[in-house]
Amino acid sequence: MHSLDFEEIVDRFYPMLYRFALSLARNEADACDLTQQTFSVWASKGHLLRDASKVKSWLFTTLYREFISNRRREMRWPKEELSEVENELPVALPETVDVLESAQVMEALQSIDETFRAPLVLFYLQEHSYEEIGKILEIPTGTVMSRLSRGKQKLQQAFLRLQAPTDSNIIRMPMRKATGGPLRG
Amino acid sequence: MDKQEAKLLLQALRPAQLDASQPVIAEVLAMVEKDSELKAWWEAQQSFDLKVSAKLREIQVPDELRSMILAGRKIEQFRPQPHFSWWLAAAAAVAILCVAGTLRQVSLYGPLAKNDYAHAALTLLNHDHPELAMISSDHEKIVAWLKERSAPLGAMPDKMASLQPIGCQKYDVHGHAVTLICFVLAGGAEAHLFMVDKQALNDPPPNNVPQYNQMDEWATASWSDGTMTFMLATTAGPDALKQLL
Repeated sequence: MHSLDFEEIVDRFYPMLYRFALSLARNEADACDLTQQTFSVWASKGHLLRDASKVKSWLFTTLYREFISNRRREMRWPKEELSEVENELPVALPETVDVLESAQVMEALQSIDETFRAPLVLFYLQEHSYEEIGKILEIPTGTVMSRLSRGKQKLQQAFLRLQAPTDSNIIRMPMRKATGGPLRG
Repeated sequence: MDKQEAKLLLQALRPAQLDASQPVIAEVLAMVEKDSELKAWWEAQQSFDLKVSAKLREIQVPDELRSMILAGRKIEQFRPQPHFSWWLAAAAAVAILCVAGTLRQVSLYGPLAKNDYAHAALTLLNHDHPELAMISSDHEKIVAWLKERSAPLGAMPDKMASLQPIGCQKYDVHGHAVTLICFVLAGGAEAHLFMVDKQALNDPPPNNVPQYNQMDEWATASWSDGTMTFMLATTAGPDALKQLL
């Protein structure tokens, strides 16, 4: 049963779905396509969903499946259990986030392997619990936790890389010629 | 639970999930209170998570995306009905005629026998999973959508006006436009109301006197009102229909 109509559902969920799509697809055009595809599937099959409270999870699950399907290659998630997570979870450095623009945060997320990226973005969109993330991605909750942990480590590393000076982001001052005085023609 | 397991759980939790009535959450929160290193670690983690979430929410959504989604929906609505429903409807009608031993010629565009129409319409319900082009719980939006498409529309019984609609569709049944509106009944079952021009049937039911029938899983009630013929169907049994009419 639905307590919302199509337009209301679009208004409520499309920004979050787009951001999730952008993290997966890594470019705006594909993210728009994925979001549109998701609502197209909702338009034709959404009425089969009997429980209106599950619309959000249904949309995120559908978007993720569309992404996998579009990519046309079989995904085989590596099995990871709690014991396989690194022994020490490092201390997070909140200050590394402060100096970044939102686009840089997205860029850092996009640089992470998709295995960790999908649960991480769902977590940071603050729309889903780790149990719901497990259902959307069809992985056990223990695996969600381990991927969140590993994903956060990788995200922090990506933030630090973005802030580290490189050849491309060092601003070089123009060299001045040593001259004794103005040249006169 | 050791400290490493506690960290693994804590970093997956958000403040809204800190339900201390769950034993595992209560245990980890107790550990946080007793262990200053763990507490400091978690506070830094929460701060980091909140900042990343805030940055993520700042990502701008393209201005045109919303209108593109809604425009795409409109285009979908103008697609012709799938052959699946049409052929199933036709097959059901032919099968019934053969079984009854009254092989009559059914004109695609002439008036239909009431029973042929009922069977064709019920097939469209696809075992309670009709394809609806318009999903809405708003009566007014449903009526506006149907009017926009010149779909058959008559006055519904008063009691039905208080039901929550699910959505609607305009079908073509043997050349006749048919409206379907689906509703949720009090117990959660669904009721499906078909409307068709009275002239589409060669033996329409009488005015304002519902005729009840049972066709396989479907309880139906049929009546006419003015220029329109109605059929209400549900799998919730005939009593559910009688309460509405």
